[in-house]
Formats: sequence, structure tokens, C-alpha cells
Amino acid sequence: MEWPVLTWIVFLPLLGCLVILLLNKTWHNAIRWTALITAFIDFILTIILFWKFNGSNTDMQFVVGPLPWIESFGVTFSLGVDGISILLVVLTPFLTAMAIASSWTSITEKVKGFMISMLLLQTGMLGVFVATDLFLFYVFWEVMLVPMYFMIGIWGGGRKIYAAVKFVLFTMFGSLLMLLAIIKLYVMTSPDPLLRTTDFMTILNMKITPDLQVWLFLAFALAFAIKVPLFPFHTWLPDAHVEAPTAGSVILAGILLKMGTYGFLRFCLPLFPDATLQFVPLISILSLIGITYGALIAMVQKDVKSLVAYSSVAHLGFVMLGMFALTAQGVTGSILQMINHGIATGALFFLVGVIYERRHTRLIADFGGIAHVMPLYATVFLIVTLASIGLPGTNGFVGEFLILLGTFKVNPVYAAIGTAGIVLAAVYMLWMVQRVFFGKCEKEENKKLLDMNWRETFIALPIVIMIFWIGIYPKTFIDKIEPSVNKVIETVKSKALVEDESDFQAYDSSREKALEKKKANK
Amino acid sequence: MLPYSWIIAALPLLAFILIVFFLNRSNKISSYFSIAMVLTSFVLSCIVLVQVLDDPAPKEYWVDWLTFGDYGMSGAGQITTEFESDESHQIPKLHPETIEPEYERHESGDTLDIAIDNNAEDLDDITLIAAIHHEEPSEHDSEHHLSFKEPQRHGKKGSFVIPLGIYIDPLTAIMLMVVSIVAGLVQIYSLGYMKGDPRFARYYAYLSLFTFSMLGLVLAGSYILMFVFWELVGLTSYLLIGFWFEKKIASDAGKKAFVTTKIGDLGFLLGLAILIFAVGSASLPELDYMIANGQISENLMPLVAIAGILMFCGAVGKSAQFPLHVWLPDAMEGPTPVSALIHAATMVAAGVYLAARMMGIIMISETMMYVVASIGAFTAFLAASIGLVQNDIKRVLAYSTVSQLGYMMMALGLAGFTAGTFHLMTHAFFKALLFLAAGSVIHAVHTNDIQYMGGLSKKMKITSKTFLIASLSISGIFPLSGFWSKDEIFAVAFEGGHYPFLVVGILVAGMTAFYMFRLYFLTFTGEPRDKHAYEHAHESPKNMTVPLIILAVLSVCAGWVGIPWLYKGYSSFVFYGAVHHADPNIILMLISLIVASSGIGLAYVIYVKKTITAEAIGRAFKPIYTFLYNKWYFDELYMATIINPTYWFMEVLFKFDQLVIDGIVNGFGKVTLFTSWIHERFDTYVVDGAVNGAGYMSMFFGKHIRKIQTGQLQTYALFVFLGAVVFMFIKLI
Repeated sequence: MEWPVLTWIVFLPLLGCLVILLLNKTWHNAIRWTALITAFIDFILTIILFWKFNGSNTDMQFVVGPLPWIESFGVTFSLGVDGISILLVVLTPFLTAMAIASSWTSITEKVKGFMISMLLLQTGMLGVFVATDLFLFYVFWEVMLVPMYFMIGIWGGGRKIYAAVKFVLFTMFGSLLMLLAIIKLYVMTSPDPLLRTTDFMTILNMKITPDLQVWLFLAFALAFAIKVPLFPFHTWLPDAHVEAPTAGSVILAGILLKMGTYGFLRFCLPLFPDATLQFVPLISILSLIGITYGALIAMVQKDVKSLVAYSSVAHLGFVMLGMFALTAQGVTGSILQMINHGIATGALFFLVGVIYERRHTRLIADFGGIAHVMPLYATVFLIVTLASIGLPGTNGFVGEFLILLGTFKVNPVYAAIGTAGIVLAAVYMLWMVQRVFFGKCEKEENKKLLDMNWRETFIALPIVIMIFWIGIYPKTFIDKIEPSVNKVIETVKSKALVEDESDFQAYDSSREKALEKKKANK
Repeated sequence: MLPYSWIIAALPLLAFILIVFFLNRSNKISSYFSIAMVLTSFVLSCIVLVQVLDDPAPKEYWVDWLTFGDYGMSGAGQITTEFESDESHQIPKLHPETIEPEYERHESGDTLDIAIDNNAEDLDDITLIAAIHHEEPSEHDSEHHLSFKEPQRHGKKGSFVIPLGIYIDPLTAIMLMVVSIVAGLVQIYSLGYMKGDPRFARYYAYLSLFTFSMLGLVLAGSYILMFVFWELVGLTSYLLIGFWFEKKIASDAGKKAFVTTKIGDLGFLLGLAILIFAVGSASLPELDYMIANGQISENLMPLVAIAGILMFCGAVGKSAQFPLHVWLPDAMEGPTPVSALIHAATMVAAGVYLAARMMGIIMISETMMYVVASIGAFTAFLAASIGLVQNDIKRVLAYSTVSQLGYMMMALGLAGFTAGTFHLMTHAFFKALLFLAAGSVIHAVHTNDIQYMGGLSKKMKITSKTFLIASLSISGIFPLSGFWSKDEIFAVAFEGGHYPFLVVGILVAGMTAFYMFRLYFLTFTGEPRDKHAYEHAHESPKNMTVPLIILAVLSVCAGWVGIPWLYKGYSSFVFYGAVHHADPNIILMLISLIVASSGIGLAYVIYVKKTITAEAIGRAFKPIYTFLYNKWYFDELYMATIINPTYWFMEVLFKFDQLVIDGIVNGFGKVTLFTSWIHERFDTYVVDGAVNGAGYMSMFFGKHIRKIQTGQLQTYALFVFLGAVVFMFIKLI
């Protein structure tokens, strides 16, 4: 058996946690360095993973397990990575390392707890992306709520308790239904309780009646839609983003939101193809509403952070739109856009954090003309802004263009409305940039602002590199994801509309009857 | 050289990168390096032009950028599956079998070849454009071996490819030349103009980036790549308009420019998507070839036409055509050399360039051609009318630019490929000259307002002379370059029988001559109206005047390549060497000359002789004057109908989000809290109440009952007795 690299990637941060636990809580720098080094080594491991990853193979790679975990319930420990998750796996430690570095001087209280939370989060998120067992997935999904809750609740801003509670309750509400659906799927795997399993591959090969699919799809989709967030489940997001500390916002926007879109792509689409096809119009329309609605609201925000938060609603709408186009370009663009959004919005939150640390305000009106005093900062901010509005040459363009092409093929009207969102994005982002950076630097407090220091520059550099790399030569990344994307689309299209009802053997008949009864009652 | 012509664009990019990362500490090195690079580009462009002159057949060079394997999205044929299944559209498969008959038809020699043989005396541009993209017989022209190959196919079987590549044909070569020479001169000029600016090196970095993007746009071989550079020039335009970002008005203008053109670009992007899905290709030559050879099925033609209209929206935005013209005058807040380079000579002309490239698509539909021509004509008139009354020297020139771009669009809409692109070239020179000369004036008197100028010709000899030359050229005075290109446009309108357009064109020509000379007389002749400014005025340094002189020479001579009597002039060159002229129409030339001179004459009478004063006219036509002075109230109209309602709507939407959507969420929370409160009460008073009650009861009874536990035997005996009595009673009853 080869070296279980995925296990290491997932649990290395946990190891870092243990080391930090042993450190005295006043040794702030030692704690910070430990956390950073752990995240960085993890990042290196994922780079190697990406390097070795065979793009043309559409199966799970670097598979770990399935090892028996909770044997009596058939729950296994199994990990694997394919084209859909590979980029997210690389992105996670990348952004975590960035987030840790960005909170170097801004987090001075309870540093130990903070860094432990960060590393725990990292394990949770990586686990979500590589788990190939539904129960394991669920565990990671929930585990990651805890550190995030503390992060917002302890190190957050003014309304931190409200935001943290809202975030957790909202997410829990959705994921409980998902747990029900997972249990249902588990029960369906075999009539014999001893043979049941939560292994994803087994469940994937199962045939589920279209009627049942609808319910299961809804249960999963609610959990994911809240996470994405899809309109109208988005209101936790501005609160959580605004109140969270910089690192928390970076992780929230950069990775946590992607868990929702990833969930759709990994579970909802291939498991419930009939339901997926049925819900395409609904989800597409919700995405379009999200795109325009988020953009319009972003425009009137007075706080830079909530502006970026609402822009996330719009961008994630784009991701969902491309995904539910169910075309190679659309879904590929959607995955790429997840990464792009992670990089660009993560970077925006980081940059807002930079200025917040200096001025302790994020209100647009408090700034103006700071391009004079912080030229480097202004340049980086502008580059990230341009990436965020999808200017050609930056990563945003490639993703948006592919999504546009993919959606257009299926529904030109959706594509047209979606594209209008790009113009709106240009308006609110550039307007914000103008009010923050341009004009005369009149406020006394702003005149003394220091430009980015070496640490901040060092964080910004890889971001800028990635923005241009994906923007100019996306082939590196698309080659890795595209075959897997095709497979998913194929699965959806070929599995959908199964005609032979007798094929459904693994059925919990009593539940099925109950369901039918319910339907009849309706 | 041709396969390496990407170097032309790459050199300014190199300058940009080096300045940003290494050279920016030194203003001098930055600027000199940037100028050196753009001049090298210019030299290379000249080489390209010479090579293309030698062999005008189009060339294309490609690399694959993005490939989607295994999707079965092969080039043209496959893409239609969606359409086939939905609307039963058919598309001819691009197999050699279908192309073969085309070859045969040509070998047998059809009417087209004969037409070219006959020196194409009566060929109009339409047939020529159609003809050019046919398989070209090589033996018909002894001087030039026209060897047109079938354009390279990009959709390989089983894959969807987005290729990157360059396409070089005579129009490309000319544009390369124009862009690199104007960019070079503007950069040299900026040495003087921008001297002492705190962000001097950054300015040169931006200029280099712009030059790179513009050259890239011209070289682009596919509409996708063109779109990429299209957006990049938009970006650099944004950066340079807002270069002096301390001024709110400048950063506002930059944003306005970016957003307004972005609206047009939205159309471009959607049009691109349609093209890719309808035809399966965005390559310039491949598309033209397919349209010309009927390789796109009839069913798909309407889709292609729609794509054309949408892409034309992009051109409308970039070339500041009605209704998206509002950004260009505001863009004058940028440094004047920038206005000359970007907002007069090159970038705004990119819209016209795009339209010219799309001629094959535009000509699919008659209606669309009329749309293009009408937008062009209306814009030409609209902008010229506003230009009549403005007082800011740069804004007059800006409106003049919009108006001239409208001319070019009109020419293209009337199928005047030659006329449109020819005017594009001559306009680039004289308009760049006008702006640079205006910049020289502004540099001297530190104001843009012509009301504070006057009499400057005595102090600024070179500037005033070159400005005069450019004014004569744009007014269309024989034999300057503007005369020839404008005449070509009139000729197109006349020959096609589009008389309304011809009338508009001539009317606008008169207006142009008037406002240009109003500008000239008010600025350079008469008594100085601001003594202080006049005294400080001085001729600009050499590095500013030399570019003026070079451009003046070009403004005079550049048009000579298109003199209609030439056997093989400009028009023949852009048609790949096929001999072609429009008939020189002496009467038309005379009319245009008379109109132009009367415009100049009128300006002379009003502003020099003062026989009729401008104020008197202003008073007499007060409503019209106010209407024109306020630019037809377009800004106010857009403000009232689009921007303000949107803003209001956004505020409402935000309130909706907070009150309704978040209200529901919080409402859930409240309901939950309320239920818990009830539960809590229930718990405290009922459940716990019962428990406590039970305890209380036992305490209560214990407390009272214990009183009978006296310890006295008599009392107990009494109780026993009483009990027995009660018992007996019960028994008895």
C-alpha cells in the first residue's frame, strides 16, 4: 500500500494543533510559526498531489480505504480526490496559510485558541473535499462549524455573537435535513442491516426512483444552498463576513462557500440526476436572482466588507448558473470560478483587513485618496478588483467566459441576464475603488497610513501570480478538471430517466409506501 | 517577419513590465525605454507593411490556448447538435467533400474572376468583399500572386478549441503602422507635456500597456482574442483618463468611460457566444470564408446576424456612437496626449476597426447595414451640432471625434469598406495632431477654455500652423488627406443611391468646417482676451513641436495613397491587390469643397470680421443654443431615466433584504425564542409547579397535621372514639 498522502494532508493540521497545545500560551510567535509552517507544509503536500494527479483519469485517485470505521453501521473511512475536488484541495491550505499570515499582528488576544481553530478548520475543510463516505463527509462538514463559530464569536467585531449564532444555526438547520437524507440513503443500500454502508461509490451505483430523488435532492440541496449561499438563504453571509476577523472572512468566502457548490457537484448531481434535471430551472433562476440582487445590493453598501460579502452572493450565483447548465464548459467554468472567487474574494478580504488594521474602520466614506499614501496597496487592490470583475487576462474572465459559453448553449436568456451581472460588478467595484483610493487625501488619519509591509506584500504576491496564471494560461488547471467534469455530466445524463422500475431492489418499502400515501394525501 | 509579428505588440508589453518592476525609479530611463520600444515596433510595422505590400494575401498563425477534449464539440459541424435537436437546424459538415465542389467551381472560372480581370471598374465593395474571401484563382494577376488558402480550421474532431492567433492582412498592416507611429509620436510629445509629473514613470508604463493592447487588438486573429485586447484597451483608457485621480471629475470620467463601454462590451460578449455556438468559430478569416462560401446553413444565418448586431454594440460603445457617446467628452479629463492617442486616433477607432472586420457578418442583413449607417449618420450630426457651441477646446475636438467616427460607421454601413477604413487612417493623423496642438496650447496658457485664448498664433508659430493644417484637413480642403477620405465616403453614399445619407454627410462636413475654424480663429487669431495668460504663453519645447510637424506632414500626405485616379491605390491594397477604384466624381468633390469653404467662410465672418456677432446669433436662437450647449441633455436624461431609478431601486432592494428576507430569518429566531419562553413559563409554572406543588402540599399537610400529634393518650382515645363513631355512621348509612 502506498503512502496515504490524503490522510496526511487532512490530519497534518491536527498534528499542528497538538504541537500548539503543548506550547505555552504566551509564546505567541512560536504558536504563529507552528501554525503557519503546518499550513505551509500541507500546502506543499497538496502541490505535490496536484503535480502527481492524473488529469485524464476520471476515477478517484490517491484513494485511502475504505477502512472500517464504525463497523456496526457500515461507516467507512475512505478518502479520494478527483478532478472536481483537486483544485479545492490545493486552494484550502493556500488560503489557510494566507489567513494565518494575515492575522499575524491583528490577532493578539488568545492567539493559541485562534491558531488551533484555524488548523481545525483546515482539517475540517480538507476532509469535506476528500471524503468519499457520506457519513465521514457529514462529520467533517459539521466539525468545521465549531472552530468557525468560535472564530466569529470570540475574535469577531461588534455584533459577533449574533453573527456567530446565526451562522451556526442556519448551517445546522440545513445539514440536519441532509443527515436525514444520508440515513435514508444508508438504509436503502441493503435490506440486510449488516450489509448497509455509507460508502459514496456504493450509493452512487444505486438506483433511486425519481420521486424519492426529489425529496433527497431537496434535503441535500437545502444544506448546500445555505452554504453557497443561494438566494434567499444568503442573509447569514453579510453578517458573518462583516463580523468575522480578517482570517475568518478569508476562509469563509474563500473556502466555506465552495463547500456548498462542491456539495452540489459531488452529491446532488450524480446521486439524483432526475431530480437535478427537474430542478435546473429553479436553481438557475435563483442563481440569476442572486447575481443581480447581490450586485445591486452591493452597490449601496457603505462598508467595504459588506460590499465584498454581497458581491460574493453574486459571484456564487455565477458558479451555480454554470453548474446547472450541465455542459462541459459550464461546469468546468463553474469549478474554475470557485477557485477564482476563492482567490479574488479571499484576497479582497485580506486587503480590507490590511487597511482595517491600520485605521480600525471599513467605511468607504472614511477613506479617499489613499492611493497617494499607499501606492503598492492601491495597485494590488486594483488588480484584485479587476480579477473580480472578470477582466480578460485575469482569472475571472476565463471562468466567466466558460460559464457564459456553457449556459448560452442551454439557455441564451439566462446567459444574457448573467452577463449583465458583469456590468453591475464593474460598477460597484470601480465605484468603491474610486471612493477609497482616488480623489484628494484629505483626512488627517489617512495621510499617515503606511503602505503594505513585507509580510503583507509576501501574502499578496502569490495571489497576484495566481490571478495572472489562471487568466493567461488556464490550461494547467482545466486539463486536470475537465475529464472528471465530463464524467459527472455523463453520469447525470445517462442515469437520468431510468425506465425500468423493477430495477429498484434496494428499497425500504414501508417508507416508500408512506411517501406515496403522503403524496396521495396531497 | 510575418510569423513573428507578435513581437510588435510584445515590445511595448516588455516596456510595461520592465518599467513597473525595475525602471520606475528613474523617469528618464522609463520614458526613453518605452519610446525606444514603441519606435522599434514602428520599424517592425513598416517591415510588415512592406512585406504585405509585396504579397497582400492574408496570413494567419495560431497556437491552441484552451482545448476541450472528448466533448465532441468539433468546430462547426458538431456545435449544432443543440440546435439540431431543438430547432432542427442543419449545418453543413466541414468535410473536404463539401469544400471540394467550391474549388471546382473556381477552376472552371466564374463571373467573379472575370470581374476582377476587367479591372473591376464597376465593382462595389460588397461584391469585392464577398469575392475576396472566395477561393482565389492565382493566375489572374500577374504582378501579385494571390494565393488564398482556405483558412485554417480550428475545430478538430472531438474537441472544442479556443485558439489564439494573429491574422495579418493589408488592413492589419495599415493599422499597425498607424497605431505605432501615433503612439511613438505621442510618447515623444509626452516627454515635454508630462514633464515634472510626480507619476511620470507610471504614465509611461500605462502608455506602453495601452500600446501593447492596441497593437494586440489589431493583430488578433479571432474575435475572442480581439475581445481580450478590447477589454485591455478599455482598462488602460480607464487608468489614463483617471490618471490625475486627485481630481474627482477625472476619476468620475474614467469610471463613466469604463462602465459605458462595458455596456457595449456586454453585447460583444454575447455576440461572441452566439457566434461560437452557431458557427463554431470565432476566427476572423474562417468566419468570413464560411459566410462567403455559404458554408453556414440558411437556418443559422439569422443567428449569425443577431450575433453581428450584438457585437456591433461593442463597437458602438468603444467608438462612442449614439446612444453610448456620452463618455468620450468626459474622457477629456485625462492628460491631453492620452486624449490624442486613445480618445482620438486609436482606441475609439477600434470600434470602427471591429465593424470593418465584421463587414462579412454585417452584410448578411440589409437591415443591419442600415442600422449601422443610421447610427453613424445620426451620431455624426448629433456630435457636430454639439461641437458648434462648446467652449472647451478639448471638448470641441472630442465631439468632432465622435462625429468623424460616425462618418466612418456610416461609410461601413453603406458597404464602403474602403471609405470607412481610409477615413479611419487619415483621421488618426489629423485628429492626433489637433489634440497634440491643443495640448501645446493648454500647456502654454493653462486653460482649456477658448474664451480666455486668442491671438496665440504670434507666440506659437509652429503650433498654430500645424493646427491650421489639421483643421483644413479635417474640413476636407483639397488636396489634404481629409479631403480624399471624406470624398470617398460621399462617393460611396452617392453611388449606392443613399441620398439621405449623402445629404447628412455634406451637412456635417459644413458644420465640421465651421466649428473647426471657430476654434482656430478664437484660439489663434484676433486680440488676446486674457492678457495674463497671453503674456505667459510660449511655444512648446522641441520634443513637443517635432511630433506636431511630423503629424502635419502626414495630415497632408497620408490621403494621397487613396486618390481615386491611382491605378493601384489604397482601395486596391485593402482588397488584397485586386484592382479596384470607385469612380472619381468631380461634381461631388466640388460640392464638398464648396460646403467646406462656406463653413470656414461663415466662421471667418462671425469670429474674425465680426460682421455678425456670435452673441447675437446665440440670442436669436436661444432655445437651440441652450439645447446644444447642454449636449442635447443626454447626461441629464440618462441620469433621470437610468441611473437615479437604479440607485433608488438598489436602496429599496437593500431595505427589502434587511427587512423582509433577513426579517424572515430573524422572525424564525423570534418565534423560536417566543416558543421557548412559553415553554419556560410552562416549565416553571406547570411542570415545576406540579413538583413544587406536591412538595408544598406535603409540607402544608405535614405542618397542620402534626398538630394533632400531641402525645396525650386522652386525645388519641378521643380520636379513636370519634373514628369509631364516624365508622358506625358510614356503616349505618
